[in-house]
Amino acid sequence: MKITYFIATLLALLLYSDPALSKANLQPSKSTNGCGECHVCSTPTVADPCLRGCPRPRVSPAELKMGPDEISINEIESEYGPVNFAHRLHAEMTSMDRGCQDCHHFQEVGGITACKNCHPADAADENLEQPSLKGAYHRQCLGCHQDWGHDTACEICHVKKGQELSESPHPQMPKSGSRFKGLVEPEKKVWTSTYGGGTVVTLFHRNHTEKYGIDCASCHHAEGCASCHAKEKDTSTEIRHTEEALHGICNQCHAEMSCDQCHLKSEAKAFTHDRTGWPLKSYHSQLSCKRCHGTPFHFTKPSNDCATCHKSWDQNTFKHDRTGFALNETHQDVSCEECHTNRNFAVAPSCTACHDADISYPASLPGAKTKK
Amino acid sequence: MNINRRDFLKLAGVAAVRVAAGSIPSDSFASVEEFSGNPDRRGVLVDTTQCIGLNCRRCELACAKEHNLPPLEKPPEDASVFNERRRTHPNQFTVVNRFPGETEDTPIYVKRQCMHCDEPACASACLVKAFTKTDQGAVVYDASVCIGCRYCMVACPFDVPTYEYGSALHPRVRKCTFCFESRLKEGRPPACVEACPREVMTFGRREDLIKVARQKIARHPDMYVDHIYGEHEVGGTSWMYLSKKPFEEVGFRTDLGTTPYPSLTRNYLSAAPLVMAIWPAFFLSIYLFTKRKDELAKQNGKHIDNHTHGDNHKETK
Repeated sequence: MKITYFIATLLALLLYSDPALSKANLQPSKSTNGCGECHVCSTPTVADPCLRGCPRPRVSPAELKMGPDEISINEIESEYGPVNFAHRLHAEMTSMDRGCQDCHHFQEVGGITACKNCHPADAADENLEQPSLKGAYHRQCLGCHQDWGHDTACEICHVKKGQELSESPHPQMPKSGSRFKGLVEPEKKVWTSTYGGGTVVTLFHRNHTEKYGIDCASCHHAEGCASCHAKEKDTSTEIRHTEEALHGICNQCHAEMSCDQCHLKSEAKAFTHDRTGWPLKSYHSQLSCKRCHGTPFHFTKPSNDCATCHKSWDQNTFKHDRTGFALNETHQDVSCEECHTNRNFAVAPSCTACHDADISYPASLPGAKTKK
Repeated sequence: MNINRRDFLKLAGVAAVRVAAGSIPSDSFASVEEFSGNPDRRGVLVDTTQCIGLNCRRCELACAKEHNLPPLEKPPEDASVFNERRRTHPNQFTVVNRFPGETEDTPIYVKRQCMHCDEPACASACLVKAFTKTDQGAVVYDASVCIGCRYCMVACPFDVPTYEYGSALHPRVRKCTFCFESRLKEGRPPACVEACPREVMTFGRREDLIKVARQKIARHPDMYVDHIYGEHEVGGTSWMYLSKKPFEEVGFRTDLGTTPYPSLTRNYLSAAPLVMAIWPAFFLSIYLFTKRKDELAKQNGKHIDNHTHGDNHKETK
């Protein structure tokens, strides 16, 4: 028995000390794949491993965390500076689709094979079956990044020799079309909290993006693309925030609200402008919030001077009866400023510009109320 | 090819002997050359599934530069270029056209140029032998002998040769040259192939390319229809195509058959020298021969007549 163990240990040591094997970190025994995934013959040897050709995508399931954040591709040093490829970003994107094998279509056990290991840098290399390194790279990149211009096309990715990198290490690449169209935004999200008061917290998700104009990344930072864009919503990738972090997201705007304003006994009703005591009608109800209230996260009370938006309005273009008060004929041609001093429409109009002190608003009206 | 009088007579003589021998089929002395094919001739395999078309068209740019053609009418970033199906013209030897794909986002782009047929119809139709299929696989044109009949344009099943109608003095037929003079001669790939960033086109021995294409189809049956366009069409072409959609849906004619165009007319045309040159000579010689025989016979007859007369005369004496 001892002898068997000894031989087995010796064999194992021999196997793992083989420089070729340890170099490539080959550990077929640890692979979860069947032999046939890599080898085409039944008895592969070190001398003749009879490895399967390309594509061989399912050999080694690579994981996102294995990859580098950024890769500097510098194959044509003589002509261009390096191409800085945001690897992690792309890896995250591809996790929505076919995963690492989307690009790494040929893999070896124990690691990812670099493109240039198979694709020769010299196009004249007589292997007609696969593209050269130039073709291989461009096939990967240009499949999505098709919106490249004409004159400076190459410089979008390839930095010209002697030219400094732009401020951003990887400029926003224009992209046409998308394979990732799975974005299904929820109308609302309802949470149950452990808060002592009301337990139900409702977030009207679509209102926040469409009406309040809040961009996705303001709340969903540090999340993988797949958590939203996957063909089928994968809740397992959703990040579980701590209570503090979760409140931090809401508090970007709702910091001054009390707990009970969000934590209710039942589901909240969606926001309507009526609640503010200023119901919006026809035209104004179609506007996005920021048209009147400024930038998202910094919404302010708008001025009640119509002219802040409606700059072109004057006595000829403004129909005064819309306000619920129709001017009589004499007053129709009077300029706005005559009554509304300094175009301040918030305060009561003044009649003193034309009339003596015995005529004043609202005792004497320059027309008739059309609404009660 | 210059034929002087002596060569012509020699050829005519040989042909006449052969006809007289009667044992040789008429095909073998066809005036239209039969293409036996250099097994090492080059070709290009175009994998249309890889072409991105819009914003690229590097092949068109490279072609224009290589042949000193005027700049493209519409630059690569102009998407309107794909609104119509374009043809090659005297100032552009290759064009990329767009065809609807499976979805709106995945159109199919197809680069077209001369197919460089193994047995080119243009060469067969040409009266003055302005077209030559080179050993390397290119079909090249010699403007110095061209008489401008444009039969090549009518003959080409792919509508490739175009004519410089705008040139009053020296109009030429223009078409893709396979970059023969500048590149192919030295074994280098044509400019468009080299310029393509995605290596849509593969340049190599035609025979090898067919093997590569078969392998691609076998490995990715979901990516390609099981057909190599140009392998057998009109007897085979140097440029061949792979496609995801059936070829008739991406602008290729699929009604061309596999018969080389020249062979359709070879029997007929091979009779032309016989009828036009040898028959007149042959029958004229027979005519002259019989005429002279008759004349001789007449003269002899006279002589005999005179002779008999004389005899009679003598006898009457």
